[in-house]
Amino acid sequence: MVKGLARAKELYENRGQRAKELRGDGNKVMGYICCFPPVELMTAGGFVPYRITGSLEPITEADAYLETLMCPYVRSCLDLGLKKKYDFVDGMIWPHTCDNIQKTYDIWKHYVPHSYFKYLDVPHMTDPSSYEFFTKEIDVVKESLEEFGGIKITEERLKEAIAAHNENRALLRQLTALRKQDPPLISGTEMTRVMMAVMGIPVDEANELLRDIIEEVSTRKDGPQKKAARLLVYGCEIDDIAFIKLVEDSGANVVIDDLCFGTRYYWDDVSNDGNPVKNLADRYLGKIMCPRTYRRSPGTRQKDLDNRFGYLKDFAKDFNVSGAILYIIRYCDTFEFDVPEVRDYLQDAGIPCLQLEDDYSLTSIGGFKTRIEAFLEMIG
Amino acid sequence: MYKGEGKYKTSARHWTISARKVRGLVKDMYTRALVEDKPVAWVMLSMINELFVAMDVLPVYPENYAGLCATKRVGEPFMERAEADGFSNVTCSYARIGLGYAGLWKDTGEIPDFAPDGGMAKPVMLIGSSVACDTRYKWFQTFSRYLDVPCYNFDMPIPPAGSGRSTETRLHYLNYFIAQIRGLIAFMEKTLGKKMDWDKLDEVVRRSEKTNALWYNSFILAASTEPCPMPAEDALNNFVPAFFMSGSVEALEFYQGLYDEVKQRVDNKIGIIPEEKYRLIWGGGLPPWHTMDIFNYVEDRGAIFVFQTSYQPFAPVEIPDTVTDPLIRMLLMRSMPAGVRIARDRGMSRSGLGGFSGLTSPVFFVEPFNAQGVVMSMLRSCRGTTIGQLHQKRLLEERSSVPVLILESDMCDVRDHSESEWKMKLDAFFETMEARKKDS
Repeated sequence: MVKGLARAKELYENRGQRAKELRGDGNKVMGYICCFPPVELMTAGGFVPYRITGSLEPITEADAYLETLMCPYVRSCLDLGLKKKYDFVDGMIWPHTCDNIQKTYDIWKHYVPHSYFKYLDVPHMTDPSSYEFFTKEIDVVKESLEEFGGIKITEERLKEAIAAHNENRALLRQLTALRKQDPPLISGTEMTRVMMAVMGIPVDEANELLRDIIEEVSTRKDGPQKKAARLLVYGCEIDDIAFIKLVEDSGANVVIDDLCFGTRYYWDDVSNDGNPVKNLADRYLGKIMCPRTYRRSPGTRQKDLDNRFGYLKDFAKDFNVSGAILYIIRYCDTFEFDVPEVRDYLQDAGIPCLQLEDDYSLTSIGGFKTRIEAFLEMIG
Repeated sequence: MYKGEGKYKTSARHWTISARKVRGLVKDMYTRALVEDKPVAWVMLSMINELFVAMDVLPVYPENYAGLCATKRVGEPFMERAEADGFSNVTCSYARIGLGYAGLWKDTGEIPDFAPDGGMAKPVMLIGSSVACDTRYKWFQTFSRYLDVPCYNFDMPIPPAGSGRSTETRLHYLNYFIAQIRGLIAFMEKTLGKKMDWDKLDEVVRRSEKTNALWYNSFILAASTEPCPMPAEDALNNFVPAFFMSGSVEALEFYQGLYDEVKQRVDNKIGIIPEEKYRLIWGGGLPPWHTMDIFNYVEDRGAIFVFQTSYQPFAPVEIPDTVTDPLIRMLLMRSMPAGVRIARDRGMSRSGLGGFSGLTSPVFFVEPFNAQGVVMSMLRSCRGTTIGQLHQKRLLEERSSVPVLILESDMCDVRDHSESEWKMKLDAFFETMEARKKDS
């Protein structure tokens, strides 16, 4: 079997293959969408967590079930579900993250049947009562997973799962740190493949894969070449290499991201002291920097912006970026509201930005290439 | 005057006296906020107006104001201002109008001279929420770009129908609602420098309970009666006091008047059109506020919308006197949407019908209101009421024999509307219904 980056590429190109194999060996696969369902619960319950993704293949089935005036990423996911490409998924945890995902709950449930389907309500606010509510919600999901899987999720099992996933996140951060060098030791395109691979296999296998990749990348001679610009890519669901590759082929190194299939998934750990369910609530509600989660303003507008977007400035500084591409999938409303604010915030900090809106199909890729090249010329 | 204003009359003809009164009530709402020496709050609709009445705050609803701008066809320059700042043209058009209004105000220091009703008065606080859609708190968070005013957003999660909520989890939802509203009250007390008058709130909420019952009874009576005495376009006016003025004496008096009027028309068999060839339901999506005369176009062809689900009333709920917390009463009063009550009363199964706040299944209303067709409207800038329409269309086709038409437009952005396309599709829809009638 191939190892390291080659293995990640293989897993990326054959999504679901490993989960299907494991299911064939008698394991249960638990699907989830978005980065808010706690994967630790699934691991502790004996399931193989599997992140549902879309595809750049044309949407053909979902047109009859989901409106075209909504998130094309969610439509693409349902399209694959309708085409029975998620038949290997035994159950599904469906979170309330945004309107597009929440309002697809009963549609997916109706047309893509799984043996188990559970709704997880994630609050939008971050008050003490919100954490209390979310802790209870996670507890409800935990109990139902126990019932479905027949395995008691004891405190000990949950803490073990948290430790394994914290290790997973730490390894991903370690790999990300290798992008600080100039040129970076791993490209954005390769990193996207790694992320997709990691989210489709059990955590222990993912950790072994990441250790191999870190070793390979740290000593490689065939890494990315130095390019004219070092970029941060901000946005939501990028689960395919096409866009990042386009940016890199246009003459830039993508050295850091703030994406749902990127740092948003692994940048912060779950505390393993005290009540593990409460710790999951603290991390998933409090630390995932998604615009769907509202953080109370600490006072002035500037403080509010720092509280919401200050981490992007830190990314830009730590990874020495020369510009940012803000890539938004159309109809992703919470991002659509934040993107002018992010653009102005970063530009005020001296980081030039290119704002792009796309329909996930990348049909306008030619137009993007021209705009990206012009942007790179401007900042070069 | 903005170039688009007053060029054409595109609002619907009003049939009931009550519907004609609403415009005056709305105008008063904005005028009072501009001239009275009382604190003004910009509020996102969350069905908590009782709190403002009890604290003597004048609420202004930018959502309602955006609808007013669309009706008067002056929304475009506001939306263009927001889009110039980088807000996408698929972002909620209510929000784009609100943000553009604040942006233009910030640019010049003055309310734009084409703003209807003198404009929205300067607020002392902004109050948004997560009820029904994400825009409700993101929009209010984004106002800080233009307005230096304290903002409070609160949560009100409502799980989708059929998501298996047990009694225990329902209780944890209720507890969360109450905690969030208490947080809001604490914010209001701090901002206003005065305490909530809980006795007054109790009185206001109990007045709202009576208002609510009159609202429900008048809307359901009208929809259940043939000939229909109050069409949907009137209901789309007559819901306004219940949504934006609940708890006030004016709202109670309005619904007493509406109920009496509907009852009188029912007793005297006063309908809207001479012969109801087709009774229709407006089954989802917000109406095109900029082109409401489309309802009259339908009537001219012998059809009438007898009910609309976009702003449906809540069924009255018996709340025992032992429930003394006005916040709990306020929530319980709005715990049973009309569709749920109708299904319960008629022994209809709700299993598999799905739906969520923002889009109730139209299946509930077809048989009880003897409807022969359902029309829905997909909106380019509203995920909250658009997602699920195709699913509901399929369910309607499975569970009833009525044809369903889905149109496409936007609630405020007239640039996304094609009047000729709507008329062409409606004409074809009538032909389908005619053919079905002949077949049956």
